[in-house]
Amino acid sequence: MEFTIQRDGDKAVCTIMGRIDTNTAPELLEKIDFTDLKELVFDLSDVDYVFSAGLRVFLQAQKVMNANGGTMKLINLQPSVKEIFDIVGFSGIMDIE
Amino acid sequence: MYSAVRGWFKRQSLTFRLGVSISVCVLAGVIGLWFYLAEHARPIIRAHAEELARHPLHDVVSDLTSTGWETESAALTIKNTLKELPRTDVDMMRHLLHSGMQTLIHDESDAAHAWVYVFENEDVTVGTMYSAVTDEENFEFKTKQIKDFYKLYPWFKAVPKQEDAFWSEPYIAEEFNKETPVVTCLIPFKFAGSDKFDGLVAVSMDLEHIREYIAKTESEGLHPGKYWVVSPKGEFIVHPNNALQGRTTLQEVANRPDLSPLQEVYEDILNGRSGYVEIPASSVFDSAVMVFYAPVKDLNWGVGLVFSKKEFFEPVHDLQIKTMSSVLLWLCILLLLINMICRRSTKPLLDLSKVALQYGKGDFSAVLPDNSSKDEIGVMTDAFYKMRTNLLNHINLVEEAASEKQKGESELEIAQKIQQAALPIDFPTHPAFEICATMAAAKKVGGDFYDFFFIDGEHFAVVIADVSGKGIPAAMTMMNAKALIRSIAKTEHSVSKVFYIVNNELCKSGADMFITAFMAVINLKSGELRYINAGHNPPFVRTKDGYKMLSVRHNIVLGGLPNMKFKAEHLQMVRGDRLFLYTDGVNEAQNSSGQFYGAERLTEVLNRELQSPFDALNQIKTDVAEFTQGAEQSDDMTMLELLYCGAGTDTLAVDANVKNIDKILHYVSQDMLEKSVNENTQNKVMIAVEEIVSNIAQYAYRRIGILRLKTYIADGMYFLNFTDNGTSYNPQKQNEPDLSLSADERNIGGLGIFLIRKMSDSFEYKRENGQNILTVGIKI
Repeated sequence: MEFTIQRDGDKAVCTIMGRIDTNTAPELLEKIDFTDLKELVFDLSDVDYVFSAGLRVFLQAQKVMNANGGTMKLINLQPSVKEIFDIVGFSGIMDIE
Repeated sequence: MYSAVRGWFKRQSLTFRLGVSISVCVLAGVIGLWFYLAEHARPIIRAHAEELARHPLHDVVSDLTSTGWETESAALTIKNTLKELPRTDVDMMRHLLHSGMQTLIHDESDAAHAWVYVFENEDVTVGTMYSAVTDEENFEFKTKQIKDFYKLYPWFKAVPKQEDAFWSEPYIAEEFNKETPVVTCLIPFKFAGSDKFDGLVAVSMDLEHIREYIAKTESEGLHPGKYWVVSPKGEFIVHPNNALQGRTTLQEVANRPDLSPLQEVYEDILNGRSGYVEIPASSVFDSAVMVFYAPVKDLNWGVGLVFSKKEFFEPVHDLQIKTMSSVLLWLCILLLLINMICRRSTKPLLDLSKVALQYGKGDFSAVLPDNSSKDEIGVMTDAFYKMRTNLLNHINLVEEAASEKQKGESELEIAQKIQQAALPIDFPTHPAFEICATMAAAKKVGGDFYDFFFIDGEHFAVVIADVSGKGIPAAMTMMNAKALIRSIAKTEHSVSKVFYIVNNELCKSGADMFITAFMAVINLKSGELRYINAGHNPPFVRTKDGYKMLSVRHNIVLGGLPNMKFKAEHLQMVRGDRLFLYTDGVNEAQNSSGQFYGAERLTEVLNRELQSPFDALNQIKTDVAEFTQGAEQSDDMTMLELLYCGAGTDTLAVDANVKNIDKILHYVSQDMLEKSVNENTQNKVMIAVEEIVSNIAQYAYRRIGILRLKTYIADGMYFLNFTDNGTSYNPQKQNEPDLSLSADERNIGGLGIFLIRKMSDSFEYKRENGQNILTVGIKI
């Protein structure tokens, strides 16, 4: 997995490529600076697979953004990835485009 | 206080302490001497001084006595002549007086004048006085009619009417034109044939002469004293103060409060006693004085001699001061001497202590001061020299021993390193078996070793051995044996032949050490196990009935005797069977009360719970430690377990580690490509594989273990069969997450298993032979 984070004031866009698995997922949370972050966008256009470890990361990020009073958005999900989010019920609690 | 002073004193230098001690002793002696002088010598010296004082006094007294006697005898001579005569005429009287006074002047007497008074009749107040005054050249004679004699000399009345001589009190004899006092000796006389006193003979002494004479008197050994002379009535006949002469009495003087001690003096003189009194300093005397006195018996006079007390005791004081100053001088010299002696005697001690300090620092080059004398310092120096020699010897011995010990320790370390380095620790990952081994070296190294290696693709060999002996030789032998077994086993498939050759080689090496060894070779495809035992502990074999000690044929130990035949044995292993090898360090582990761990307890622990070889070995280690309870490990403890997993195809075996997830996913995706599985199924399979592997790696193993994955297609499904030897863990018991909760309420865990179950179309878990077996099927 590779990812880039673009920070612009209280807004950040995180673009992820590859698989979000057990080994790589925790790094995402470490790299995102949640201080004063009001809007967080994950661009998953180049993500093939999201495993439970990745799902945990998104759930945790959502919790932090809720606490911040900000919003989180997941965009450009591939169908297979979207299906995972649907299965675990994240589609209902996260803003997915 | 006392102890504080005592402590302080003890801290001072020897010189100081010795000096102070001796000074105190000497001072005490001096003070004693002082008191002795005061108490005993003083009276003696004083008596001597008194004696000296009495001497001049006696001289004066005897002079006065003889003067008086001469005067009296002159009067007597005249009286005795008159006694022979009838009433005499003037010529006769003139002759008598002239001759009598000539005698006195010739005798250098102090007589100044003489007279004879002849009573006219019964009435003694009327008479004729024949008087003469003389000096060495002139003689003057007078005759005078006196009508009222007693008016002229009232004190005449006191003259007793008897023949004895009577001495008058001093008086001024005006009718002789004398200004200085005189005393007169009076004797009544009778003419021949007369029966009553017919007159008086009088001879006078000029006191001025006496005074002059006394003034000249010098006392022997004492300064010239101050004399006084008193008459019988106490009147001063002679006094240093001229004004007092003939005008004051001793009693009047004694009445002054300052001079009260004189009161008894007059009494004493009247009673004819001599003595002395002390008069303290007063307005009369600047300093205290002593008055020595004595009576002049014939005249009833008293003579006193006044000494300054200071002067009187001067010899005593002189003696005391001289004694003290000489003693103090000696004390100073003594202290100097003590100081010198102490310094001289303590200097070698200081020198020695300096050397001892250097010795203490480990510098033995310090030279001892040269002292060949036989005194205590010499003895001490000698002892120091001996101490130095002994210390040096001792240090050399200790250093030798230390270096020996170090050598021994480093040898053990080297041996231990060799031993540890020789043991393979990379346990191969293979679908057909799992292996783990461990060796805990005892403090004093033994010669245990284990080994495992592939002989070829199908045959895998395991070896355990115990070399007799310790240290580097044992380690070298172990290396040698290990290398020999490895190299010979590669070419020689028969284990008995391997041991036969190894035995001969070891015998040839002349190492004089033997080895107990067990070797087994397993055919990974067939599960056939061929093994050979050279004097080693029989191993345990685990079948579905549990662990049992294998009854093995006991061949001779390796390296014992050459050309010995070794006989191998074999058994068939099936999937899940295990072979457990160990050395006697395990079953013969001892606790502090000397009991052995024993094969029974080992069997029991092995059968307690089926675990991965890694955990199984750990369990035994823990149990042995529990048994020995810290008692020192006496021998190496070596164990090896081989788990046969059976021959399988389409099987992947990897370390159950999240790091291998990529490897496993890659394997599965390749396998699915080969098996033409569609993309949708592929996605699901990938997710299932990732979740299962991470689950096993994180929960089932926690430590490195082997994970086996077998894939196959059956019933229109792609099956994943995961086997691991980890802790029992049933994913079916996992609760499903509540999807209706909000993001904040959702638990972040528990998604993995849930996902697998959602993705899969078949999900089965079972625990078998200590293994977790999970089979997941996904529709194609």
